[in-house]
Amino acid sequence: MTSETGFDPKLFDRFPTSEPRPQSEVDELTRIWAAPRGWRMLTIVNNNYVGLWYVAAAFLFFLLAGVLALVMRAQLSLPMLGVLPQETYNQFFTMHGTVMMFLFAVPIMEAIGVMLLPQMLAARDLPFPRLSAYAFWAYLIGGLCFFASLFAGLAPDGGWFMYPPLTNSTYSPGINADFWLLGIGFIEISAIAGAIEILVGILKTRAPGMTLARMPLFAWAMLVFAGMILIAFPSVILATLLLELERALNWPFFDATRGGDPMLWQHLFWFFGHPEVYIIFLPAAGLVSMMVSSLAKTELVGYQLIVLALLATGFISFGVWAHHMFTTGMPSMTTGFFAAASMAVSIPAGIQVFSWIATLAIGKPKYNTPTLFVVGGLVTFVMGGLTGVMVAMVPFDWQAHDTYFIVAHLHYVLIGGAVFPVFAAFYFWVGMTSRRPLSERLGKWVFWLMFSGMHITFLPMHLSGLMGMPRRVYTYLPGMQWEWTNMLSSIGAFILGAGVVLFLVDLLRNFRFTTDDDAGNIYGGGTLEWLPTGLYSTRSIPVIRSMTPLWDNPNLAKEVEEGRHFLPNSATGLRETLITSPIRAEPQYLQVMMGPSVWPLLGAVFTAGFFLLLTVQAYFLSLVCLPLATFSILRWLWDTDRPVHQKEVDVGAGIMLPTYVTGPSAHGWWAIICVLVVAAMIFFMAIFGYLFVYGVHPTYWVVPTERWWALPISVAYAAAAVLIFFGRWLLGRDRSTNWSPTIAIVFAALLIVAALATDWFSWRAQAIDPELTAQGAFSHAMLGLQGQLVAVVILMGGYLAARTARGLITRPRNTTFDVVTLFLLYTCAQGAATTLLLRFFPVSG
Amino acid sequence: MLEGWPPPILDPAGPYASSVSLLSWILFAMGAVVLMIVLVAVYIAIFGRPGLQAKLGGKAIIWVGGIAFPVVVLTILLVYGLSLTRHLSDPVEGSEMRVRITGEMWWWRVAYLDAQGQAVVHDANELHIPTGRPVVLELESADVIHSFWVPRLSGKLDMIPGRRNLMKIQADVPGTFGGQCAEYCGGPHALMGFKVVAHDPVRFARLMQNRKARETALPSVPSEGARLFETSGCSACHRIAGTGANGLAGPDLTHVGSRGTLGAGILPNNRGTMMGWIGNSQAIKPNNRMPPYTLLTSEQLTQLAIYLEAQK
Amino acid sequence: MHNWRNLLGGLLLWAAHFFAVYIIGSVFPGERIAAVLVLITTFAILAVTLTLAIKALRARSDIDDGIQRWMSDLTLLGYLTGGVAIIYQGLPAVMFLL
Repeated sequence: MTSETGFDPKLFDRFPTSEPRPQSEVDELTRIWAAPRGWRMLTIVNNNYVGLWYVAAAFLFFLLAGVLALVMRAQLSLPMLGVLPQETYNQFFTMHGTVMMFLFAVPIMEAIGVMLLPQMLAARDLPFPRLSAYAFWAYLIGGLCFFASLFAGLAPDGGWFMYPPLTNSTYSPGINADFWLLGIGFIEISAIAGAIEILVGILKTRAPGMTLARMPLFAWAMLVFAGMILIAFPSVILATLLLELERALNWPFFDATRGGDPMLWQHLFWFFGHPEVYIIFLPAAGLVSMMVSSLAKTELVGYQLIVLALLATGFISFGVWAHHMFTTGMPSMTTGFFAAASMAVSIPAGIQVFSWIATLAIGKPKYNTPTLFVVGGLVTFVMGGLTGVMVAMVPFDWQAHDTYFIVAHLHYVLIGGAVFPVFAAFYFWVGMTSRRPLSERLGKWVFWLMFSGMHITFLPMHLSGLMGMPRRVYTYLPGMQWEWTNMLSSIGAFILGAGVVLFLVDLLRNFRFTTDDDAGNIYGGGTLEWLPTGLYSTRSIPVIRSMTPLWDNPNLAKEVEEGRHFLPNSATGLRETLITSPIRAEPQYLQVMMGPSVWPLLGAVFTAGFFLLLTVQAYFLSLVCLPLATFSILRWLWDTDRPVHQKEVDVGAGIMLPTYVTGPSAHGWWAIICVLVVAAMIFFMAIFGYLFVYGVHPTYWVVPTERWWALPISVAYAAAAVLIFFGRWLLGRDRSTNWSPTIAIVFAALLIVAALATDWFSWRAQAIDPELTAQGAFSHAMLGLQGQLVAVVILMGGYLAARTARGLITRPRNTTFDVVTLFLLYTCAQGAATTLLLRFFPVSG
Repeated sequence: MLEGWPPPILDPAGPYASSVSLLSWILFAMGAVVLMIVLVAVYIAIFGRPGLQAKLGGKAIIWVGGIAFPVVVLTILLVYGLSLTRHLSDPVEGSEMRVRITGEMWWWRVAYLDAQGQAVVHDANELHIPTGRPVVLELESADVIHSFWVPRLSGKLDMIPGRRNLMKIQADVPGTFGGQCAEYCGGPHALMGFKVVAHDPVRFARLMQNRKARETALPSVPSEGARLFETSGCSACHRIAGTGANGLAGPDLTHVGSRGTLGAGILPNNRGTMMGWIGNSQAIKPNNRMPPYTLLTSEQLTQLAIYLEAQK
Repeated sequence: MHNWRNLLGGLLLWAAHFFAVYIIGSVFPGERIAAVLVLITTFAILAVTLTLAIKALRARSDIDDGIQRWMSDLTLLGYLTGGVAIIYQGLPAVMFLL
């Protein structure tokens, strides 16, 4: 056997250990991981609580958006009804789409991830518990305020896709559109925070021996999910930023009369928007893969093919965005590329469907609620997939696009591919967190109501679309012969709604939250989340030797309970988890984790305050929130990266692991790399926009003068980079003083500030006005993006100096120092690229 | 038979729609077959005889059903779809009749172009074409994105500010073909309809000739309605050729009397609807750009309607 | 990192191909030269895919370690998927030239 980290895999054979462990260790674990009570419950960061709150919040938004749908269906049940006035209907459908996509679908997957992943991977918690708490609170507060805009009549009404020019300040002068742009932009940030947490958690906190080939498929799906979020969401963050700038400062990114282009928005939006669909589908598919195997009581057929399918979907879904734009007049060959990728992406879906069928055929599935939801979801999803193949055919899409055919298609895919699996998961995993299981009798009713309601609603919609009914219409004329299909759809919607209400009844009657006395493994799953757990997850962290350890080793639960595996106690007396290597899951070090804190909560409150107050144009209060949010986040970070006095500890069976590492082994290093990927994607999409708009309207562009400014600016960035490396070198040397590495970094930060200032003022002298042309708007926006990074650089410089003053910068290596230097280096690179791009493109007039 | 059957997409009236209609049927057949296969497989997997289940349970079925079969089906469809796309987006020859249609919030400006691309006849919300030959539409937008769609004649194509999209339509039989804006354009997007009227070429030529002549004709006999049209403010937004009414913000009314519909394809055109529309169009199509004229008496509304009816 | 690069090789090649043909199609909209360039790109990247796949296949026989072999199988499947998707992506250019 070979090794990834130098860890000898033979050491795994020491487990299960034989010597008895004292009960006092369990008591200590319970004490260390105890959750605060009373109002301090708000400071909880543990995934058992935060995960459940997160699921509950996402489900609340599902209900709210569902109610909107029912009112809309009432309005459309007959022609020219007046249930909803036009303005309100337009707000309702915008909110229905937006809330379902941004506040339900993506968050519920992250929420289920936060709740299940640590247990599934036998980690004590996710690696950044406070980040989960921050992501949750930011999402909850932001989401509720966003939804409340509906009650004030201020909800956005431009559609969930928010196409300009309809959403610019000329055609949407109210603050409705700003609610969307700032609210959603902010919630995206929370989604990215969650994705980083999940990605690092899956790669670094798996139980020892849980190689990539033994990882539960939900973890695989969430890994791809998190990666896709990091690549896709920056695009919509940039788009919302640009549109908000256009609205607030009159910078014409999307205004064709000044050299902008409304099509740019569509590209940026759908580059996010289509992967988004798979971002929703993949985690649900992961859940289904796990449930199918458990419900059929047999190992999943074609595990490796499913992994392939998840990865392939993750990639190819980035090549399909323009199939939302087949009717915009793109060149026919270009539409062909997107049609081809749209076809290719359905093959992985086929792999998964047939793997599930094959597994069901081998096993003996019982007639129970999760099985019903899984099989019902499978059939529904296949139907949605087939209409998906149809609309991937460009000429058919020219007819079907923006009609009710598409409404039907997308609901088949999303309800079959995500909603039914999530309901199956509710029934399947409720035993982890509730004293009582949900009712099988009610559950079957819930399923049949939802399933029949779903098909009665959406099957006729295909026909409505073929009969020429466009989407997003608040009413329709009598005599179009759309009456009966619409009436059927409305009846079905209320049947579907009745199913959801019945589910709520089931929840009220049977769901009783608990952290230790749970109903347990109702359906006989074979993966680690069914080990006996407390708030610290499992008492000891088992060595994993197969894909379904609970089936293959019936004694595992007992061994784990008796502490005969890794980390049977708290080695340092603090919250901690085992960090393992990404591929083979070899133990690398012991991470000391953060406990409850009010700072993530306050950080979220003030971040939300900043964005929401900005939306309602309370600029002063908004600007007060910004430093408060920054302070809260820095204060929470202040507690992190504190080495403990034991350099090495025994993690069980005499295996010694360090308590502190730096560089690519460290979980903090992975997190900053994720952040930089996001920053780079935003910058990359900005470059795309810059070149795209030039390509459409080159006549609005001028060749910059005084290009030589690029030289001193780039040199300054390069010099800063050299200083940064010098600082790292100093940190590794014993003979330098405590302050010298930090001083090098602070000087580098100052150089970066100076470089940006030079860039800004020399560019302002160009007289390329940001309000006059798209070139002006884009160049200023790109300098603005650099400005954001530089603002963080300044904060980081100060933070590093403060930690140095307190003697918190360890030598020869330190994770905080690593994080700061990596960020600064990236800032130098983006700054130099910005100045070169602005000055040397276009090359000539 | 089902009400509304056949749906417009499957009831083509010209070559640009009929090939897509055929494609649709092929796609539906494909969908039905694949769905049946999956349903049968699911049925066997759950309820089937153990022998059948054993055949179904295994990696081979993934390779056959989940990989090989889809690859074959998708490849065939892709090749077919791509060639059809290519065929349907054949370049414009240049000799076709051209009409510029501009999407506005929430109606359609129509301008018939001569060979030099100059607008020679103005109209709104209705397009007249000859049967049997392709007509090129220049699709533009005056404000936000709209989408032009007459399902029985062709698929849809967006109207995007700053761009001009070219679309070909052709009707092989005389008749009236309805359509509706397909890209959400705010407010009363739901009530932004359109009619295409196809005439046999002889009748069409006559119609166009009359309309061209009308563009340069002298003012008609003064009437109470004409006076009201000037004094009530109608002429600020609407144009009637040969009169002082030269407003360009709203639909051209030179031929409003001959139109089949009012309010952008949403009302039948008769004296009652005309009066209702002028008096308070906001009650019919909320948030459209025309203010209500509630101060006009019913007598005045009648005079206006009579005047407009005469504009053929 | 090289582990991941190998694992995702086929899909990374697909991505490179996709964005290359997208850029070509955007720079020369509706022109014949675009189709020709797309075809050249397609053949070039297919050749790379095939070469790497053969290399991975050869290397596979020397692997005795479970997870390495598993990853190498996944790599090969990735090349297969990438290859099919790349061929799909080249078809529009073929149709354009026909």
